[in-house]
Amino acid sequence: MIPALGLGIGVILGLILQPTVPGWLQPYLPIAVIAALDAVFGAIRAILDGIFDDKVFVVSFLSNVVVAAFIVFLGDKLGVGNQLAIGVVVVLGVRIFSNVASIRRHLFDA
Amino acid sequence: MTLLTSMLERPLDPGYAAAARRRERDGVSKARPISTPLVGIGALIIGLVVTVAALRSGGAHTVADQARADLIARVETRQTSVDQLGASVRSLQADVSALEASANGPGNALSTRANDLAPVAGTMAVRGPGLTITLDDAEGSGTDAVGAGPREDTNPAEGRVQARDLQLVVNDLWRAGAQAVAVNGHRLTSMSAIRFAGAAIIVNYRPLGRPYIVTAIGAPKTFPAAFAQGPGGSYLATLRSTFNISVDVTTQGSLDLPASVSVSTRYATAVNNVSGKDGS
Repeated sequence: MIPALGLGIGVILGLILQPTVPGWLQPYLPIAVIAALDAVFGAIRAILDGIFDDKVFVVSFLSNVVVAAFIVFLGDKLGVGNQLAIGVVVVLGVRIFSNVASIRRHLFDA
Repeated sequence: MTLLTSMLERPLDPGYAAAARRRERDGVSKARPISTPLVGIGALIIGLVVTVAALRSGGAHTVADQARADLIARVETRQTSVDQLGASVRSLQADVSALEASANGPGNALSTRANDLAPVAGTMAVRGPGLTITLDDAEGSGTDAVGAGPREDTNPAEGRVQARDLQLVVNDLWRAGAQAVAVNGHRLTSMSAIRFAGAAIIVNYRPLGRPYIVTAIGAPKTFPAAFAQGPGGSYLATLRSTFNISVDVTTQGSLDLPASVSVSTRYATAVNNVSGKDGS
């Protein structure tokens, strides 16, 4: 109940406040979204596996965002920002896919 | 391949498994409750991030778009200020001629001569019968300014009106006996130029937008016929038939042509003895 409530409040806050993202932060927004999706699907899989841990969920989400943003930032400074961003997206994307596959096995036995 | 296998086989955060093992060792239940404030806060952040990202990409407010909008706004403000300054120049010119006339007194030879010369020089707005020629790009010739770089296509859009077209038309209007010519409201004087800059036509140092409207004043009986039968008329016919450019020539009973804004000479000064005596 609380997670759904938090998600709803977050969406409503975003819609109402419409915060302006500063220019230097904009390249990291897609990365943050991918990291968030990864954390969500990881959490759902952990719930289904029966090993969910709230602390691990929040810490893994935050650290994923920070590390992904740092890699992209470093890549920007080195002139290979796009390539490293692709790397981050690929790694997190693969994780999302296999987590979703695992969730599917749990839910549908298929 | 170890990297790929480890990525594919162990996608779940190892932290979950480790925490579960630790709890099992401590003898607590493996799973912890899902509805905790910490999870709520995490979900809130996730919702916020996703919403903000969706809003950003949906509105297409990229940095490039903002820069483009900024530039357009700046160009527009400058153009309005130029227009305002042009209007004030015209009114000041009218003041100057009125003051000149009053200073010289009515019927004075000098003021009569100035009044005769002003319409020819283009420093005075004029009215009279004449021709209106409207030129516009052909349908589907890519008239959008975006991506119309001069180097983008070796064969520039053929259906477009070029500066050369306007030059030829204007020259032939003079030949046919026009006494005053204006393009899109820019009066042509001895200091005017019609030229090409990139994809834009520049007249009197101002870029023009389509359609291009050439207005010319001339003798109502002879002028339109002289233009239509001369090279200008046949050139317009070629433009229309070959390049599908929309051409519209109409005879007008009364046309208003504005005064030119920029006729002052900054470096060229008049030689004192106009009558032909030695200047020294």
